[in-house]
Amino acid sequence: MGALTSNRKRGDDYFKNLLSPTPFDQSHGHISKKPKLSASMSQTTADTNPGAAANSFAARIAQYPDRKLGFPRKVHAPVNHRFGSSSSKNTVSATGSRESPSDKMEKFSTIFSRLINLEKLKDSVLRPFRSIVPVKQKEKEVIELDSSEEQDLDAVSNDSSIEEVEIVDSQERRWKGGEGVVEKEVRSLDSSVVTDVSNAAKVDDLKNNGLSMLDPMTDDSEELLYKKWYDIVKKRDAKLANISFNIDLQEKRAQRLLLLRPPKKEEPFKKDVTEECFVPLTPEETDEVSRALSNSHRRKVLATHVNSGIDISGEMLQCLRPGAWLNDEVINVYLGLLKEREKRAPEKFLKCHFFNTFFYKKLSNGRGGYNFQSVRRWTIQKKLGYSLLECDKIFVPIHKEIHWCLAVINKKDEKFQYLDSLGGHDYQVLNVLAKYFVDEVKDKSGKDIDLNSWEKEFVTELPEQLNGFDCGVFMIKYADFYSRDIGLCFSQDDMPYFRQRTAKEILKLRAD
Amino acid sequence: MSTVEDDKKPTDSTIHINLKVKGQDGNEVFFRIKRSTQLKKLMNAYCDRQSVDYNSIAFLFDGRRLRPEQTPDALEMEDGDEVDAMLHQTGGVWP
Repeated sequence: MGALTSNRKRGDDYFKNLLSPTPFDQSHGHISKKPKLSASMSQTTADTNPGAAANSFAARIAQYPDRKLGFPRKVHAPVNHRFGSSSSKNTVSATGSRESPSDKMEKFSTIFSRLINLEKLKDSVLRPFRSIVPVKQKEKEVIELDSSEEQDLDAVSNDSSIEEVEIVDSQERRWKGGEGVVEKEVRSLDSSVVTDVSNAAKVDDLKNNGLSMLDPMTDDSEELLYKKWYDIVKKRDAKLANISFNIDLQEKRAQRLLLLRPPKKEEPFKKDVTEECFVPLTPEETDEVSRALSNSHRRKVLATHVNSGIDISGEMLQCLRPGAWLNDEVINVYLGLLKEREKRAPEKFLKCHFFNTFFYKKLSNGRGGYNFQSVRRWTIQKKLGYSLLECDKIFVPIHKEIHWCLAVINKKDEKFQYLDSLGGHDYQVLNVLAKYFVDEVKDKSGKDIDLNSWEKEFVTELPEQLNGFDCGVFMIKYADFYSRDIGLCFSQDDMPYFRQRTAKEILKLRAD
Repeated sequence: MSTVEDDKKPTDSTIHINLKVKGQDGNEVFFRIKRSTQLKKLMNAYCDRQSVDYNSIAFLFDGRRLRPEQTPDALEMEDGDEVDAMLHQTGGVWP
């Protein structure tokens, strides 16, 4: 039974595809839509109604085959219902609203019986095809259905090759090739159709329709089908092209937006950097530092910083003992290490230049407290290995008799800064540096720089020195933190650690 | 102040070099030494003349510390170049 139903279904599909575009139905095309159908059917009823035999259902049924409309449409299931309702409506409107109840009843029964009849008609029309359909099915299934068809099937299978049976694409050819067989089959089924429908002649007509519908399964209809499908596909092509274009467009927009978005790397990076500034010394490092700071190493050279040409002896390093004043050697080596650190990891630090502790003394030592010529050669690019003018920040240690301060030529933020751990202000220093920077730019690049817009800032919100000996440590740490481009997030309490750390970094000749 | 080897002939200029050492107070001392001579000799001579401790002075050439074993040749010094003699610095605030 399951095989039967599936066969039937396939048969229906088969008909829809193959037989729909019939020459009798040119106006509607092969897929007749329901509204169209009902309209045409109502037309039919309207045509027949004015006639005297309007109530005779036999006469009306006789109309259908003549009209040659019914068959391909009645395949659709919903048609029946539609047909009934639309025709009843039409009948009412055609005969007027002054009908008596008995008339209505009669009409209703007429319609009802017509419906039943139509059902039968449909059944009879479909039957031959139902039996034809199995031809393209596998032999076993067909044999189970009807043993009387066996001979025909044999003939069919002899006529056509197995490949043709199996390949769906070759269905049309199959039909053409086995035309004789199909005709034979249809004829063999005549009897059953006759028993079902009283009006044999009309059914015959129908059958002829069916057969004649088989005939036009020629290249014409194929071409039509392909053309229509091709047109449909073509329409979709345009839609697809449009969609893919839109996709491209959106993707490009997204990319542009991504480019506009500022990189978010800075925040986590800075957090890491802050942690980096306070990494505790390991026990080994602590031991090494305390040994180096002991008196037994006083005369010994503990480290030689090649770039600055400075030997660090134990005696010099002892300035990093708690409470001692920092000397120029330790400061200069440390600043040299900061520069090497930046070269090692340029992506982590600002591009900086660190003048040594003698620079400002040299620069300000002359008539009028300014002598550019004495330091002009200090920043020759060939000797530095980089151009001073391309640096973001230039650090200038300021030695004031017994005090260390820091001045910064901050090219990045276009300002001169002065940092004194005791909160002192020295306008002279910033004025001299401003003058120096103008001369330096003029000397090295030949350009005139306008510093009128540059601010001269005395940094007041900074970690302050609360004793009489840590100013040097504050100063080098200002430089350290500023070269990382981070805030001065330390305090007097960190000074013992920074002394230890600086000693360790000088001994290792590597600042981190 | 005159250099130690003042009386040498100009033809020796390829071998010798005239250098000027400038103190922090602006005082200038001229030296003439062989290009291949270590600068330790010049430094010591300067400290002797100025009566200052060798360890209290930092000698700079174009801002870079001079090391005693370096020679004018190694530093590519030219005739008349200037060496800075700077006093070491220290600081902490309260004496």
